[in-house]
Amino acid sequence: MEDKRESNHNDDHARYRSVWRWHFYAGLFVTPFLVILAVTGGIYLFKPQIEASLYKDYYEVEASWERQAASEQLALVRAEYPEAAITTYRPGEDEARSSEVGIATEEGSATVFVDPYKNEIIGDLNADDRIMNKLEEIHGELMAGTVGDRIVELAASWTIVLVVTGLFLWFPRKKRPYGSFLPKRKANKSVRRRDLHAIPAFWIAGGMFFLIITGLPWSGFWGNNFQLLATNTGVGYPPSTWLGSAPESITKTEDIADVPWAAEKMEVPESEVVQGFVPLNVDEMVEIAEQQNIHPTYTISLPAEKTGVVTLSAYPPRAQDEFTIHLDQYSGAVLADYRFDNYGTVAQAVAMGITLHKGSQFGLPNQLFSLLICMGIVFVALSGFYLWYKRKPNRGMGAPKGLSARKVRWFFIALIILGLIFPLVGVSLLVVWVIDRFLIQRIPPLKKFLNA
Amino acid sequence: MKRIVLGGMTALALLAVSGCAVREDVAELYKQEKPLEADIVLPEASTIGEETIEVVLTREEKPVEGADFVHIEIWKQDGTASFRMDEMQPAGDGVYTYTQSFSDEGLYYVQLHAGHGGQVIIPKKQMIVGELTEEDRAFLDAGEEAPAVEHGDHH
Repeated sequence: MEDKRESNHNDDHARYRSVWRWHFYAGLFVTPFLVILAVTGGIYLFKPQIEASLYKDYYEVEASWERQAASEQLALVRAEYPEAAITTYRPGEDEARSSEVGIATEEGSATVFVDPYKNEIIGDLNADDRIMNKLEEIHGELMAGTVGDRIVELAASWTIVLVVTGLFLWFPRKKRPYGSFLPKRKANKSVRRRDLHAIPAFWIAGGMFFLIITGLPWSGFWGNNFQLLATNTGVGYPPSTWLGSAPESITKTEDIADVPWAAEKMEVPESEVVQGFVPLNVDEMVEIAEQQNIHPTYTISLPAEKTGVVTLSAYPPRAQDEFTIHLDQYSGAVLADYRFDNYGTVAQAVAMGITLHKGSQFGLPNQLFSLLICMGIVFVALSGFYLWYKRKPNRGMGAPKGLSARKVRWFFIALIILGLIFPLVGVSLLVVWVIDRFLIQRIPPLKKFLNA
Repeated sequence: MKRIVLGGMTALALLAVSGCAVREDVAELYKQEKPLEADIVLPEASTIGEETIEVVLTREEKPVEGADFVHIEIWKQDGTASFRMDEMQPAGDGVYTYTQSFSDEGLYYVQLHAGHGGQVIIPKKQMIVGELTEEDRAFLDAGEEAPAVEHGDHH
């Protein structure tokens, strides 16, 4: 009887140390990325306010009774940027907002802001010059393209390991768990230090987990495959709203008008080539858009090819207001009308997750709540680092000595499940195992340093 | 260890099953439209005087009878002539006709405004009455000079 209790206690202790060891190494890897993500994300939350203030002069116009047609505004832009191709037109959601004309040049894409009342160009902004775009690039891929994207994804998935192991370590083991939720007054230094990390970590764990889960569908590897699986099974985003292509215009290409000199080349009567369908002009597109009962922040994407479609879309603050509508570029017939209600259930959850992640779904309270989580993440990451720094011996990493993960059965199984759901985690686990098995365990100084 | 390897392989296999492309017929799993289609049939060679224009309305390849409205609007490219929007006459089997009298040669636009069951379409065709003027040709050729629009990557 006595013996059994003793061995139970030892098992508990060994288990605790093993989990601690994983938490420790995962934390070392994840901490720098978490801080970067939390800081850039915390600022990006306020993108609407920041851009409204930075680009005030571009955005705001004085309304008057006479507003120029969209085609007049496009003609103005075409004259000013003869080398550029016009890709989009955004009429502006209210009468005090300028119009935006998207152009593509060899240097990249830019937005030209037009005052529709004075019919003059206010100015242009290169997509690459926008500070918020830079921030987004750091947040999403550390400004390192695909490699950066994978690193962020890996760090995010490993944060799940951190949250799970962290909660295990935090889990109250005493009968009166009060001290696990709030800092204890009468505690020694090391407990206080631990509380500095563990207690705020507990309070933000849910928000942190939510930000990771809602952020992952954006990632390049896991997210892309996840979206693909969802779309292909009918529960995801309809084609063209995330993955997949838009439909083509149904007007037959042989019925489309050509220029008169094409008739000479083809040796057919002029009427045969000239008498054909002509594409909608932008004023007609606006007219059709106004009849679709859509959010006023919509953008019209002009077709690139003769078979292409005109696309109306908007991603307003609330997920429920999203839509993507494809029109035949000759007749204006609605070929696809995908609104939030037409998304599959998984896509609805993802879309809602995205607007919550960005802090736009519930406006300012949403932004402030998310900011609090971001600040919490930075604090917890730093206090975790401090915790390690304080207990770290001069020599060695100060990692807790752990049992092989295999001896802690449930934890081993949990890792495999996690590795299956997030293949990047699985692959990195394999790499860690190989390094441990063939390097660390065979080189005594390294083994000692890492306390392996 | 075997289990980890097996696990990794299962994960990769799952990814392979999910495929790396969107299914071609995937749109059928989501909300689908039944777009209204129209052909505008112009006389092969029109001259000054009366000409009859025919419109064929179809939806899902079936002729559309009893459309909510079928209106036609005709104007001259150079702005020297413009006729008021008028109703087309149903001739059965989804065909609607309209006769217009032209007094000047040149390039015209014929636009259809048709509605049926919530869908509205406004296709328009160019029409030549007699011969094109030099101005018409210059106008048409200039249209070709508008830069080709290029979007970012489409997957």
